[in-house]
Amino acid sequence: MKQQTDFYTVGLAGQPNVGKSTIFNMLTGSRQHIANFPGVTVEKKEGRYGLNGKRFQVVDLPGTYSLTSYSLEERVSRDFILREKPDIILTTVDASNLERNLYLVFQVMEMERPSGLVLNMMDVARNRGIRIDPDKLEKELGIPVVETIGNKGRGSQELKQMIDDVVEGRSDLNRTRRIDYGEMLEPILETLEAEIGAVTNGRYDVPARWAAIKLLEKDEEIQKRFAKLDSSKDSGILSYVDKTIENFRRTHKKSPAKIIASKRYQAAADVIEASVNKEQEVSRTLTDKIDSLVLHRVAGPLILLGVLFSFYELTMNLGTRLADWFFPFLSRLKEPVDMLFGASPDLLRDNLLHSMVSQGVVTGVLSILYYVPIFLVLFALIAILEDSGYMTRVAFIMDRVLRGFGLHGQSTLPLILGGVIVGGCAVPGVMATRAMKDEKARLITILIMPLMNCLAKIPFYILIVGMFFAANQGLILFSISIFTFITALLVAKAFSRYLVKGESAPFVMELPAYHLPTVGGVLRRTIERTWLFIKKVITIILAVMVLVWFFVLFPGIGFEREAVYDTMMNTEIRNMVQTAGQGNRFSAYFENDSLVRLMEFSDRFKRSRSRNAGDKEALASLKKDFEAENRDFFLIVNGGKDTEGAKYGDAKKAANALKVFQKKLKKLKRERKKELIDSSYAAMVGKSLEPVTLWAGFNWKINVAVISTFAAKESLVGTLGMIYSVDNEEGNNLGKTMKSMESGWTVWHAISILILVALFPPCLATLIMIKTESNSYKWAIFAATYPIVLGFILAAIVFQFGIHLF
Amino acid sequence: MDENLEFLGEVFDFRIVLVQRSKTNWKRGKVTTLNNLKPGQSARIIDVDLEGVELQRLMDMGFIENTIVKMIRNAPLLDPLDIEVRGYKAAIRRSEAQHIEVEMI
Ligand SMILES: Nc1nc2c(ncn2[C@@H]2O[C@H](COP(=O)(O)OP(=O)(O)OP(=O)(O)O)[C@@H](O)[C@H]2O)c(=O)[nH]1
Ligand SMILES: [Mg+2]
Repeated sequence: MKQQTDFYTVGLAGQPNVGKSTIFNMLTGSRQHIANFPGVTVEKKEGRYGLNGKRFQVVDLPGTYSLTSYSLEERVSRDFILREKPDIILTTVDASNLERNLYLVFQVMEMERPSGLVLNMMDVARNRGIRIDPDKLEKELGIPVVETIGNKGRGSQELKQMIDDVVEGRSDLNRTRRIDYGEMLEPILETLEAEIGAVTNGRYDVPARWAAIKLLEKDEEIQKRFAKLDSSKDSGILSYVDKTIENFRRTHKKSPAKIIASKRYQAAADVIEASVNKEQEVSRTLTDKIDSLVLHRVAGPLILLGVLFSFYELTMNLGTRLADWFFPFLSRLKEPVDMLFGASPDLLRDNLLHSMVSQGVVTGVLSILYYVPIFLVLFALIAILEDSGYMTRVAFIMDRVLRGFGLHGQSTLPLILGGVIVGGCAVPGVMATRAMKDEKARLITILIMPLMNCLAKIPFYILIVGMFFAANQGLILFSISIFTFITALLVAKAFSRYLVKGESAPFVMELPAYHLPTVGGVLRRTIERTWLFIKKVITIILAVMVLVWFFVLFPGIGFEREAVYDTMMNTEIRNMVQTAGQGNRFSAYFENDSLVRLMEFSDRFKRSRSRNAGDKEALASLKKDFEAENRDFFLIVNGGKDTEGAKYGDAKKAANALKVFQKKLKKLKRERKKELIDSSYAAMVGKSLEPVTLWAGFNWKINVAVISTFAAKESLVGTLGMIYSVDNEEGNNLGKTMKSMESGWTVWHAISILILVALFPPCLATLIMIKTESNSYKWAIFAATYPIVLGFILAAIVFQFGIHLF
Repeated sequence: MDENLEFLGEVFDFRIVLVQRSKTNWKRGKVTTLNNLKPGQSARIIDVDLEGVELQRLMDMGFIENTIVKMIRNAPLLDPLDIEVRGYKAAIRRSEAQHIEVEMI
């Protein structure tokens, strides 16, 4: 990996929650970037810093309790150490919890890279009355030790100095402590080491002693490696190891793995004995006191409910309000695009490229960017819950309930983010499952995520509920969330029983001490996660929106029909000239080119006026600008008056004529668009599905809307609006229009479609997340298909029952 | 080693374990499993009766022979358990705690 001699790699290992990332940030500042380790979804954070003319590349490894091959994180960490051969591997430990931490330190040291120990959380240890003698610790371990308080930035200089010393070989302590595995194991290890040297013969570059220990621990990955190296011989090293382990178990009644772990803890205890002094035993720490309240049989669940509720309120209310406040600024991004293309010379039709960029690309990006403020709030709150240590308590309280359905206590947060209660987002939900160690429960949690009530379903619920159940909206919305939650639990149960293989991993979870989260830490994580999301999602959304745009507008209605629309428009233009009256000089502007310009002027004027509504001064100066730009146009669009208030009769007449024309043109455009959609590819698909979907009461229009929502569910109501030809600008009367056009609809139609949408397949952004998080296309495709099948079947059953029984 | 001797050793070993166990039952703490501790009670781990990942996970978290554990509390729904082990607190399900044999102290 080394390109130059003065370029060094620093690996940061450590158990979960000891402050690795904090130390990483302390070293590298803001010069960092996040990627994944090759081929897996484990996050790899890299950063660099310079010292004494040397450059150091720091890699933040995932937090692990051990370095076995049982979990992805552990494999990633140790592969990094073995393959990348960092110039120094720093193990960060929690000084207040040294014993269990040292267990990992010994394992790292066994991998025989130059090592250093970061003794973090010194403040916590001090508060608990734990006195650590760093010099003695250094001697005991045989590696350099630096004390730090990561969140306060203490110890940064010393740490950098230590790293420099180690990579330069200046540290005289480079004789690390070797665990003595005792007379039962040492002879076996010695034999194995020799054997390993012979087998690998330089083809597998690992420390022989480490490999010997791993073989005795029955480490599957190492076994596989040796099976490859040693395939020819039947009586090879693996069968020798098997026999040895068998014998060992027979004579000592214990597996070597148990002895090995035991000896590591023994060594940890010895080191602590020599270097740590627990002055006064603090009987009840603050964490204990908080826990006796937060985990109390009665108060605990109540507090949990309170926390979850305020979590919800904050994301949904604050987040949505921020998003709504911010969105108008975002939407202005559209204007430069529109400006770039200029007004379409065809009053009836948009410029094709313009329409694609504006309706496809820009709308797609905006529809995602809308959620960014919500994500910021969401991720900030999650970071606070995580950093404070409360998250594990949530899992602790909820585990008993969720376990029955094949889930895990740690599924609580992802499901809440996904929108158990109403209004969430599956993307952060799926992302939040990362913290789960139980792979089976994690996969099931990911798979039921689409059944949660994501934010994008809400406008649709409100539309349908408003149409049919206006009297008890709240009740119906509540029933929807109960319905989806119960369905999701049952589906989870079924998946865990019949579909997802594998045993659940044991649930042993650390309940860490509470910490006050730091502003910097929370902000950093929030921005990191939001940015990651934006990057991942936007490219996909782009492609799909363009696709949807194409499917909804093509193949077009044909020249003949287009000609009919042209004729109708020309008639309207002639009518307008007539209405303006004979000899009206303003009628000259109703000719081809200038009409286009006049319409553009009028649109622009209306937009600016509504943007500055309420601000009289701004309005006045705005009018002045428009008047200066084109006085005649201004007289027309301003209703026949100039800025001084003088009235012009002809202009007034022209203004009225133009208004009528604009209305008529809008109607024509709408009719044309409706015809366009009716004959589009999307409609063809929708219609061909009708024979089946009518079982659940869905006509082709609903089908089209449903198909289009694969891009992003936000578009559901919009697409319906397009199909039912309602212009969103004219207020929200989509409900009324739909009801009048679908007079045959009953309550059962409404319930049926509510069920379908409630159990709707995830949007593409979610599918991408599912793909990356489950690391399999199979599960992503499954997650895309099963909800619609399930939703349709349930909807059809309810619908058929409903219309036949009532 | 001679096969007979090995066999004898095995039997012998077995006896000793039996004797020790019954002795501890009488004189020292009661032998039970971790899930049976009441809040506030402490015990010493005798053995973890599991294999493979499950054993490794528990060992990595500090649940290993001769370790002193203290039952702090049950979760509000009685499961999992909050156990103090090696100076920190761990949540562990009853179904796993069942496999951890302890001796009360
Ligand atoms: N009191 C105190 N808190 C610290 C110290 N170092 C880090 N923290 C806090 O400990 C928490 C966990 O720190 P992280 O850096 O995220 O820990 P990590 O090891 O990267 O955790 P994982 O990546 O989840 O394994 C954060 O809330 C930090 O602010 C310290 O020296 N003293
Ligand atoms: Mg971290």
